[in-house]
Amino acid sequence: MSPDSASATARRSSLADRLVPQVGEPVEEYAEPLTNEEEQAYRDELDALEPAHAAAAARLHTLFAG
Amino acid sequence: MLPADWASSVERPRRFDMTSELDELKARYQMFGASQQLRNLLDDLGALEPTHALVEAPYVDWDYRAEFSQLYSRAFNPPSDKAERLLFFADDKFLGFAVMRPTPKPVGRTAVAPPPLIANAAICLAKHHVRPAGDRHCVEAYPFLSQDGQYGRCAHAAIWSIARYHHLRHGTARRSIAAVVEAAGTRETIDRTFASGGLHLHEVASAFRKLGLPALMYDPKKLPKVDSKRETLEGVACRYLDSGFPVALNTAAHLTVLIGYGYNCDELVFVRSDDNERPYELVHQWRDGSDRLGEWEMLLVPLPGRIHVPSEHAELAARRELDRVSGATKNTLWLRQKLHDGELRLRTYAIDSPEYKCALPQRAPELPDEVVDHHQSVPLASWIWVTEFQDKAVAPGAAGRVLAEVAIDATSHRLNPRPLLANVPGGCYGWLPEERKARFKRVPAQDSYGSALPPRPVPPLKVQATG
Repeated sequence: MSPDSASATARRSSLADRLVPQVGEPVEEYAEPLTNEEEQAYRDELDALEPAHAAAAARLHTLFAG
Repeated sequence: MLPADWASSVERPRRFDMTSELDELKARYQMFGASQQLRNLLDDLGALEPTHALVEAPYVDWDYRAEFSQLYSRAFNPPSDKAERLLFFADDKFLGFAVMRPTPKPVGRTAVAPPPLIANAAICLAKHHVRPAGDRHCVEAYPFLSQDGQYGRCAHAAIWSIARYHHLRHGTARRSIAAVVEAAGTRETIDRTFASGGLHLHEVASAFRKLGLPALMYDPKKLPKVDSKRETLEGVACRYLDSGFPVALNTAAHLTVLIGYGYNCDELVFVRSDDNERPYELVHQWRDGSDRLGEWEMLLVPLPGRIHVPSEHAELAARRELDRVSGATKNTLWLRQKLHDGELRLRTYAIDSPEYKCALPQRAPELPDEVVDHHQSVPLASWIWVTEFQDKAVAPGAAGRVLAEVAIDATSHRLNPRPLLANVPGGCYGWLPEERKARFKRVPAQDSYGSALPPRPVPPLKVQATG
């Protein structure tokens, strides 16, 4: 199916159709499985974002806003 | 002295020609001396080529009446409880309005369209509707109000403007300046009675929380680190501004509001609202303490909805998901390589998901219909973060060309941001609420498509007078 004809088909999608998720099939592993180390590295990166907010909050008491 | 015909229903001026009677207009409303804000307001309006201003009076302004009730009415010799409202026009085109208070700083609630020169960069605009004498008019503007210097200070004015903007744009509660003062509390000094001496920043943060707008805080000197690199101030600020969230900016003893940004060639410039000056100020010099207000000490981002995931957490999660899904098939390994090589520009913004779905068919160049149908049909959280992975070859202020995008649930845990959907060339991914596994659907491949974020070019400017 060419992209044009595929688009024409999709344009007929109604609200009733879209109220049901038009998703594909579940994929067992949609990407290479992450190793424990990779997963932990990601968690560590998220954790590392936290202290900056705490430091900013702690500094609020020292600043005058006018 | 207040004019004898102040707020009179009959015996007062009705119309000022904005060319021949501008001085008379200024004189009427600078009754207690020069007003920097009024002068700037009228000067800036000049760029919109106004023809005339109409006077609506008596005008009972909700915000001024709240100030009057809380402070002025308790004085032995109070000012008038009535205001006047100026309505500005360029022939038949409505340019905005300004409520004039009978106080030393007369500019009350104001909404005027941004000057054309910075219209692309002024992002945080909300619709203001007025209905004088049976007419209906509307203007898109950032709400402005000058502090009166007695009941409210700059911090109150900044908080008020953000609260009013979110009320108009995102449906949060409407708050008067009196509600803002009450939420902030009076600063505790020995001689404190009623008049405000200003706020410390923790009081500002507390006020936002009490007004239902919890604020995220960023210290420009201690921004979060991502991938061992510290976030940049512009990266943080632009993500929230792209979301349509004003950013409160603390400088030495002053609080102003960043309401937009744009690019003059490759130079990033911000648009700021400063209650001491004007609703729209273009800030070219801001790095390394070069701003006229001094060093940028803190950014506060009041949030209008349930947004538990900060922008940098969301972008990190989106980057990881793109890394994973683009590595899943041979067809998109080139995209993964671009991501690893730093050849993609990431632009992240928050949006309420119904609005995201409604705007999907409006991209130019357009998204494949299959992608639109897919994304519109996936159940989403009320607020989502969307990261666009754009072609870095396009200049930053120009129309972005998107190669892929990932949406993250803004209401999920900040340390475990949950993906909701993604698209890469040739495929869509969806994560349904009750499922752990992703679902994949093939769609027609497309080289790139238009960004949801409009281009933000700012033409070279003459130096703007700041008084």
